[in-house]
Amino acid sequence: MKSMDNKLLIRYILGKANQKESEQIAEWIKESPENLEQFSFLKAQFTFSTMPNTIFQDRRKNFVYGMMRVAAILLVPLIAGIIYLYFANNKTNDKYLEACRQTELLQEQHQGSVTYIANAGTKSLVVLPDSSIVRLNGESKLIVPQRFAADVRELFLTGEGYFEVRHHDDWPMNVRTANGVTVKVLGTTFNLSAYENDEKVKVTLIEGSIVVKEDKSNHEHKILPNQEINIDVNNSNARSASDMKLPKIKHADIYKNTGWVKGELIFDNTPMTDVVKQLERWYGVNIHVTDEDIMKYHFTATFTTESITRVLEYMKFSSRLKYDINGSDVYIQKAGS
Amino acid sequence: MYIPPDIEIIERLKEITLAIRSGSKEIFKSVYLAEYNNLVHFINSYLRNKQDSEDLAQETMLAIWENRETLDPNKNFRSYLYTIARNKSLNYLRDNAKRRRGNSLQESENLINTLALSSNSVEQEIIGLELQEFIERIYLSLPEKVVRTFKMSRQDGLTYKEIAKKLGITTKVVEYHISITLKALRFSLEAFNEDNNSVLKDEIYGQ
Repeated sequence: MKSMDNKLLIRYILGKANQKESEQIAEWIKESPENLEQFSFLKAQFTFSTMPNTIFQDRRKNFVYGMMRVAAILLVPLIAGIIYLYFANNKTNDKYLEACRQTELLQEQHQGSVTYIANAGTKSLVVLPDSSIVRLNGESKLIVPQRFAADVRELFLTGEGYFEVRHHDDWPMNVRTANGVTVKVLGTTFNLSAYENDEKVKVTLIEGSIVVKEDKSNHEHKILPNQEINIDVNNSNARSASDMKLPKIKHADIYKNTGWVKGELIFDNTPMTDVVKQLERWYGVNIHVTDEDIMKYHFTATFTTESITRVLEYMKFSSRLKYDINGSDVYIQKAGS
Repeated sequence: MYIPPDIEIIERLKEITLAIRSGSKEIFKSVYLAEYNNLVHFINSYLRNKQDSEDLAQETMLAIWENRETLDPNKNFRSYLYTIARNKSLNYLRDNAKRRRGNSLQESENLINTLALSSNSVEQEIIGLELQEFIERIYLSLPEKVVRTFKMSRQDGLTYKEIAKKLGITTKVVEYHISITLKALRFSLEAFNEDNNSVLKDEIYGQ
């Protein structure tokens, strides 16, 4: 059967079709997947656009215009019905507002902050109260106040985040970490890697300007675009200045440091100790390495959207390792042992 | 300062989820009252049985409450709610098909509603709830005048000329407003899509 008249379909959806029409339409729907899809689409649109209590009003307007275009000839009862719905419920839902007011009270009790978590094996995008954007890598946590203070935008990160901070001259942003390093910016794009189980904190600046401060000593280091700074984590526990290692500032390989944002897992002569950690964060698996020697290996490769199996296969081939997977546990040994 | 109700809700949906997760009965009750009629409307659209739709709506809210500890504040609460309602409705329809031997037209409609409910269109609408919240957040980050121009174009369907006339600005300014809104949407929606791409997850478990 050729395409069904939308007007008739709409009457059927509204329950206004008579027996004969209903049978006809039912037959037509069952004829082909395309017909079913056309029907399903119209029905879903109608269902969601005519909700009795709307949260956001504008959707209803969309459907009214849509329906008016579709129902070419004015079917007076049809249009009247829809317009009635439109005007009758044209107010935002009071119950949600009430819930909002109550959360405001709760929020104050919880010191008004929100924690965003990206578990191992996932990535997350967070939009901050000032509309800056933070992308979180696996096994990362970002704590953000519900509203930034008037004089400073302060937040807390453990793990890895790629920050795109909106510029405000008199409103600096401070990103604190658990490793005794704070990044201070006005408006920039940078990558901050501060995992609690890493030996160092690495900040890579893509554009803008930032100051990286060591909390313990209050030493501040200014970084320029395309530079990275590596700060030894143990510095925050050092008992004297002579125990601290000087932070290293060098030219950054932006591609290598921020590949994760685009879904690229990059190893560049990376020691196996770090490879294991990165794989765990990326895939959400637990890796057990039986031969200690393996941890001294170095590894170079780039993966995009490969499965953990593919990565392990590659390692097996290139480094003569063998592996075994059991659920989310991965066991790696030397081949021939 | 008067804050339009929509904006407050957008900012608070996440907090509402967190509050329910930690067991706030008052807030859950408000949300229950807010969504109940909508849920019934949605379910009944496919079940065509008011009483049973009301039962399923209540079951859905009960399921949310009983499993509140698994609520994820980073996921859209409403999408989650409607997904559960949808699944319960599909189960109901399938049970119905086995149980009842009504007249063939009823059976036929039951089948059609089952197919329509399990179709991708419904999924798109449910995801759309999340997208809608996301888009409203983007609007929030743009100047009011810019968003107003954009909405007049995309939602009210006015031409640039008409908008310019109404607002007392030039069409060049209208074009500018539209273009920065599109840029903001495109930029953020790309990230939104990346997040929703569970390619990696599929790869892992598809081994």
